[in-house]
Amino acid sequence: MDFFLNNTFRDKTFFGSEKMKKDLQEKISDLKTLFAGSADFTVRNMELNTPDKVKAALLTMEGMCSKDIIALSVIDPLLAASFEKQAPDELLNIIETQILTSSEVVEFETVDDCIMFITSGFAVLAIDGTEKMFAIGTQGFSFRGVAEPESEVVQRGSREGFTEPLRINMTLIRRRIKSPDLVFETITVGDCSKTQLMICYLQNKASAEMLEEVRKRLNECDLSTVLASGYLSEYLEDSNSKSVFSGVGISERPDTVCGKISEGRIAILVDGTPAVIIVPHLFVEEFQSVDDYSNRPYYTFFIRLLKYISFFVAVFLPAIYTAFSQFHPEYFPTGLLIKTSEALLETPLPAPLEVILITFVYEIMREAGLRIPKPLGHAVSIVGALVIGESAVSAGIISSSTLMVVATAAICSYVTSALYPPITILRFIFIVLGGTLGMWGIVLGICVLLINMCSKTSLGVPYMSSLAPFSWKRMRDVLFRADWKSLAKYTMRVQRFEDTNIKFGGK
Amino acid sequence: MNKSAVGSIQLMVTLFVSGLFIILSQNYYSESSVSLIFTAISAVVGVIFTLLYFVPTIIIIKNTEKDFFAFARAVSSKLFVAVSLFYALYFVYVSGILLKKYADGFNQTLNPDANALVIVFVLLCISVYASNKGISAVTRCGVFIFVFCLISLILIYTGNISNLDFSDTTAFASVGKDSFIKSLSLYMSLGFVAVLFSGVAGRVKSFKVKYAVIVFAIFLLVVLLYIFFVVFALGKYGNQQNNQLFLLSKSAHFDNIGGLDCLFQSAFTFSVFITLSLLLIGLGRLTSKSNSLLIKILFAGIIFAMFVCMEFCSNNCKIMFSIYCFDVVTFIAAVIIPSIYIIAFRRKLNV
Repeated sequence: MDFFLNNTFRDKTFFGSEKMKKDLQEKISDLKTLFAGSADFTVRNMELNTPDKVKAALLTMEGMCSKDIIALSVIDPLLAASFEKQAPDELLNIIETQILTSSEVVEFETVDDCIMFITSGFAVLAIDGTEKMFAIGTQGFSFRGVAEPESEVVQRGSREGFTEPLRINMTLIRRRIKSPDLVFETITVGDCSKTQLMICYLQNKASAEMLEEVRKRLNECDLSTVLASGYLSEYLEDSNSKSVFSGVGISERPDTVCGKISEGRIAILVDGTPAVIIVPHLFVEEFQSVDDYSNRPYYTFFIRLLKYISFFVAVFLPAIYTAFSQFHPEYFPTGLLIKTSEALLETPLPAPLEVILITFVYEIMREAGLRIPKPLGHAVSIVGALVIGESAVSAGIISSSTLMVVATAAICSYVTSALYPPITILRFIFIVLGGTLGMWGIVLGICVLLINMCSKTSLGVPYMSSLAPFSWKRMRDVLFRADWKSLAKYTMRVQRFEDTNIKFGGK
Repeated sequence: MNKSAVGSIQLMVTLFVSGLFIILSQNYYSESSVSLIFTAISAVVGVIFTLLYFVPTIIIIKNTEKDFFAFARAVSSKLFVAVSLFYALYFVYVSGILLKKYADGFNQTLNPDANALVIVFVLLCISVYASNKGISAVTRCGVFIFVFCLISLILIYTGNISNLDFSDTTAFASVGKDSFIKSLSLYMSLGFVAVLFSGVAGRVKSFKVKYAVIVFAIFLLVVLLYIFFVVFALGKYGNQQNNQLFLLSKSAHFDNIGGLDCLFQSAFTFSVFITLSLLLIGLGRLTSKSNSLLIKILFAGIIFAMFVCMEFCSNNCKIMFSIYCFDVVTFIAAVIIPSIYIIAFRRKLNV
């Protein structure tokens, strides 16, 4: 294992199927070299009770394992047992079948596996004279408990949200879908981070082609470190679909993920993050929430209508206001025209600049409010309310009507919070278009936006599916939500949406 | 998973959008002697005739699952060179006329000082982007624009209900043969939609004729309502004006809320955008590299040059703007040439 010392290899952690050495001390020495004498790499040496006193060692990462579990289920039984003279391989076999009380024991013999198990919180048992080793499930690192996700709050429904450890997230899904068709597939990405992913799907619902495409795209991921779901989103997007909108959904709610999986979608759980990736992801899904399925259909319709209107208001209201006040004041109703004109006349800046300025200041304050420590958050609110809301208007720097328009658009943008990034960017673009070219500019912008959205696909499924390509059948859960008796008649599998073509969306 | 296909409704709805405002932006009731009944009859006859323009292409699609362009290329590549040249000229001609109408309308109704060349250039750039995304994206976009156009028209019409005045009895006066033919020829200019169909319908999966009939029935209803409101809401004032739909949108109001002409402007721009995109896709399909962006830019450049010629030489080439000339060329492109192919290559049609 001299190549351990080669930095090029070490950076890439490219050990492939290289087997461990038989000699225990050499094994430990190589691993210490590999981990560069890292302080958390610990070795517990032991001497087994055999006639020739075979040496053994327990290799762990400090903080990743539970010391109690190690003591109770590994060290205690090992030291208490007495063995006859046997070959090391046979000795290992006896240890696995008769001595260890841990529920999870995996045999391996390669360097790659050894690193993966140790860094994942397993205790690795090595004995002298054999390259075979055991990974014993003793994970016991501290983690955040299962709690309601702050970004996806619901009124009715589960209060559980995903957390960071992968296995707990798997459990949260398995508890909700107790079917043998639910499959979790493991993939490791990140040359350095070796992040574990779980591809989760229902084998009787998901499309085999889609699954293959997801596996292919994840395997093509050449990142060195994967620390969050967002790292993988761009790899899962269709290559021919550049857009401000995302074709990859994210959720922190197990019930949402289970609902999506049951429609043939594929979820990807990433170790170390509560955000689960869901593909394919469509535009209409941004307006759906778990509450929609708990509330009565008529109320769901009302809420969804509100969401769609809010989306349009958030994107277009400042732009239309700018275009009207700059180019088409005749479009304002008379009363509003008088008040708006009076307000705008008293301010020094032209309307488009005023709208851009306030929107920009608002975005700065939002970002500051988001990053600032919580106790100071109130200070930002007070400064924002007083400086912008009161002083700027009374000083005549900005008009009250402009402030109201920007504030309305800002509030509306939070109704569909997942769409906040595209809404913000589009709002600025349309304000510029409305301010320079008037309504005509906005219309041209809409043309480009519509074409962009309509050409976008998510794993080959048109992003605007249900609306365009239009389908009456699929509309049962878009604006209206059909009653459960109707919804229960058949499941809408995502791969059967009109114009779906996985190869078209692939790389 | 088959190749990306386009639904019948989606395509027909997009064609509806491309035809709608082109037709409605014309004046059908500019002579006070023309009666409402005869205008309505000419509209019905015109729309039904236009629907018949689709028949040759539908025959080809039903028998070969190819649109006319694909079929013509498959049966004789040498002959297709001549045919594609004709259709390329036709599409460029239609684009030129369309842009001239749009630019004139823009200057008359929105901004008289706007530079037509800039407007057309920007519109062409966007259309090139759209056509490069393909027929699927354009037809999906057409669904949204269709809904917007219908809502706009409903608002414009209902906003004019308070303006209706049935005291104008001249609306029911008799009509001369010439007026009827003139009116009919205006409606038949919608036939260019059938030519577009023959060029871009190849991706349609299991085309259903009923959708074409339904969409045209909606179209007919919209046109008849248009005539009705022009006659009874605008009255004699409307007869003497251009852009009657624009006037309708301008006069539409709900209490003191007006300004519906911005809906007209938006719908008109959307419609022209969709039509140009389809024309560029059609032009691309005439070449062997239908997906090439370069080809589309090249054709957009030719269309722009055509528009510049029309803009600066409009007095010298009036024949190009004649509705009769347009109808004849459209009839040849939509009916005569596909029919000749059907007859000449009927054996290949049956395969």
